Amino acid sequence: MSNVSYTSADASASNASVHDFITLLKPRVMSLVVFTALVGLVAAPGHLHPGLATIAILCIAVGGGASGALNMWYDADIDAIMQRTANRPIPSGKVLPGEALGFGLFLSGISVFTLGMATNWVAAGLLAFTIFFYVVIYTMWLKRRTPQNIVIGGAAGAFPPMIGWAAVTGGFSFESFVMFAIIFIWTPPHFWALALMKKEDYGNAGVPMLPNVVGDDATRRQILYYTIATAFTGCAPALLGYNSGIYLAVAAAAGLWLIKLSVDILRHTEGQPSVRAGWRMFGHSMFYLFGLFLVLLLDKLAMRAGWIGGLW
Amino acid sequence: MVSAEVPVTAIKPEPDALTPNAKNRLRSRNIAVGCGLVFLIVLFYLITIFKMGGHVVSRAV
Repeated sequence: MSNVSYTSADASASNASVHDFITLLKPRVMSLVVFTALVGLVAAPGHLHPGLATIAILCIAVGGGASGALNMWYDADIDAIMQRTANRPIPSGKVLPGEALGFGLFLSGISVFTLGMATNWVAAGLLAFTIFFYVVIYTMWLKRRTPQNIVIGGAAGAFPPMIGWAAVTGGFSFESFVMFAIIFIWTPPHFWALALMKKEDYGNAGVPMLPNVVGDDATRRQILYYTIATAFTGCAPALLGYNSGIYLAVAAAAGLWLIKLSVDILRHTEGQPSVRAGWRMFGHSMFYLFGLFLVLLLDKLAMRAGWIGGLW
Repeated sequence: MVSAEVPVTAIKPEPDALTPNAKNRLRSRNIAVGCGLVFLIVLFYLITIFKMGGHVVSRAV
């Protein structure tokens, strides 16, 4: 027997804490995934046992978190360069890349399998496709290659309400697609506002975000165009008769407010006011999406209770 | 570099070589993995019960 002694650094596992592994799941992103999936699940016609519905939401949350862990595994090299992400578990050395990969793959598999067992295989298949889309299509393919990365890649974050819907109905519908469209169109201006603030960071890492490729002014115009489209799409559930006039009024007011914030970005191009306008757009657009889906949920429940009717 | 003559068991870290902090982290990770496995067992049991619904009691004994 050798007398050589080894420390934990020689072992194949790191000294990562449980908290470090939870950080890999991107809990803040997960909260949006959980909430929008819940709205899709509640808005869907039909019945799902409350216990199975809770398990379905849990599976969607874990699946979303797993894709976050796989994203951090693949992007560890650029995360280490960017100030915003340098403290993430892998670049900071707390978690080994192999651990994150294994963790992400295991949680992906178990979340898809459990969702299929608890609800149906359409919902499970869509969850698997969402993880694939985020990790392979967005992270591995688009993110480092094109300024349209967030436009196409945004679809990954938009699928959860469709998964929630499919968990109840076993299929898709135009109504669930409208919820998908709201998040899909909302995503680019939200992240472009961040990209304006973190342009140097993205530039250092070689990620071709829109401001780095076409410049700040063109990005500001694109933010305005996409925000107008977001405001219109936000009203679509009522205009198509799925929700009430009350929802339409709230969605229209919130949409106009978001457009005002994007006009502020266009107007303030220099110094502190420009930075403030960018951060306001980034933060408030998150609030807009949460608020819109909350109103959509409450409106749907009120319609189901017979308190209000659809717009048409 | 570990030579080929060194037994495979030697590449395992000696528990004493770990710092108290590392030991604590390892212990909490092991507990978390254990809890996760128990949680999965309970989860699959619940799925079975929820899927069977009230029919679980209406069978010939």
